[in-house]
Amino acid sequence: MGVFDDKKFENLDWISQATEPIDSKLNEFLGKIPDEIDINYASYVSIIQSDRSGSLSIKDIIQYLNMQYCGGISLSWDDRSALSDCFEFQMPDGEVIIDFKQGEIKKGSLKIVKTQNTLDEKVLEGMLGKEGIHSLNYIRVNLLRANEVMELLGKCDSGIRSRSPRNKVYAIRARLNDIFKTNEWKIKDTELANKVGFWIKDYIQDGDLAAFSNFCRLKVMTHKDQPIYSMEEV
Amino acid sequence: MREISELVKDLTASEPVVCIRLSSDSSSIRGFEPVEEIDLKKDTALEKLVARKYSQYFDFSALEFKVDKQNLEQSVMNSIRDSIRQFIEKNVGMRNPRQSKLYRWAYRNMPRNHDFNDTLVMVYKYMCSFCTDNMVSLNQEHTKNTLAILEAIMEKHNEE
Repeated sequence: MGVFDDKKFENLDWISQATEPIDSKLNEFLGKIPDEIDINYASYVSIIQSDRSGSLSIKDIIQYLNMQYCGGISLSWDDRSALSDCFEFQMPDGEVIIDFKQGEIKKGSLKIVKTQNTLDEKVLEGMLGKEGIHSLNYIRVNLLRANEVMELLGKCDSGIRSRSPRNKVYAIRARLNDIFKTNEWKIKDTELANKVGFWIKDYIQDGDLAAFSNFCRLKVMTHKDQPIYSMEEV
Repeated sequence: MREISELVKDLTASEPVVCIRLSSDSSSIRGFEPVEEIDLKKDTALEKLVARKYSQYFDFSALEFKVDKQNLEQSVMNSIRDSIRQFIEKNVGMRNPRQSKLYRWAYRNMPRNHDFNDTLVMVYKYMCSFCTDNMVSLNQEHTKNTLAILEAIMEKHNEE
C-alpha cells in the first residue's frame, strides 16, 4: 500500500466503485436512526428542557436523535438543515395533550418518522467542502503561504498577482468553490472535502506543515483522475 | 400602585396541562398553550386592564406555568400612563395637542414613584368612568374636571 492509495475506495464493492456514490457521515447518521420513533413523556420533557421552547422543529429534534442514537457526533447547521428533510412529525390524533403535573401524555401520541434512508446525491454535492471554505472567512493571511496554496490550486492568477490579503483569500475561496461545484478533483467524501479548507486555513494562518503536507498529498491523488474517498493523513 | 399590587397578588397561573399541534407541513410542533385558561375578574376598569395585560410563561425547569407579577404590575402601570397621555391628546382641545404643556409634562416629566403612581391609578379609574376604551370622552364636564386635576397635579409637581 502506497501513501497515495485510497483504501476506502479499494474496499468498496464493485457496484459502489462503478456508481461512485458520495460518502457522508450524514448517511451513516440516517442509517442508525430507526424508521419510526415514539416520543413518550420522558423523551418529550428531555427535548423541550434542552430546547427551552414549546415550539419544536425537526432541526431541534435532530440534536436529540444525535445524542440518543449516534453518540453526539458533530453536526453543523448545514448538516442539520439537510437532515431535517429526512424526518417528519406524525400526530395520528391531530393533537397531543400533555399533563406535566401527572407526568404523562394524556391524549394522543407523537412520532418522528424517517422519510428518507439516504440523502440525495445532489444535496451532498452541494455540501462538499462548504464548511472548510467557510472557515477561510476570517483568517490571518501570510501572503507567501497563500501564494504557495494558490499555485497548487491553479487558476488563481489574479489572487497571486494581488497584494491584498483579502483578495488572496477571495481567490482561494472562489477557486475551491469552483473545484467542488464542478467536482474537478472527484472527491467523493464530504468530510474529506471539508478538510481541504481547514488544511489551507491551518497552513496559511499558522504555517502548519502537517496540514500543508495533507493538502499536497490530496493534490497528488487528484492526478490519478479517480474518485477519492479517503487518504492517509500525516 | 398598591391597588394594582393587591389585584396582581392573588393571580394564579394555569395548570401545567398543554395542548400541542402539528404545523401543516409536519415539520414542526406549534403551540404550547394551557388547556384551561385562567378566568380573570373583569368587573372594574382596573381589573379589566390587569386581565388585558395578564400573561404567563412556562418554566421549563419546574415544568409549570408562572406569572411574573412584578413585570405585570409594571406593565399595567405603563399602560395607565399611556392612557393618560392618550386622554390628554384626544381631549385637550388644541389643534396640536402634543405641543400642549400638559401633554409634554405627561410625556417627559411625569414622576415615577409609588405615591405618584397611586394618584395616577385614581385618575385612571375616574377617566374610565366616562371614556371609551380608546380614551375618547363621553362627558364634557368630567373631561374638563379631569384636565383640571391633571394640571393641578402637574403644577404641584413642578413646584416641588
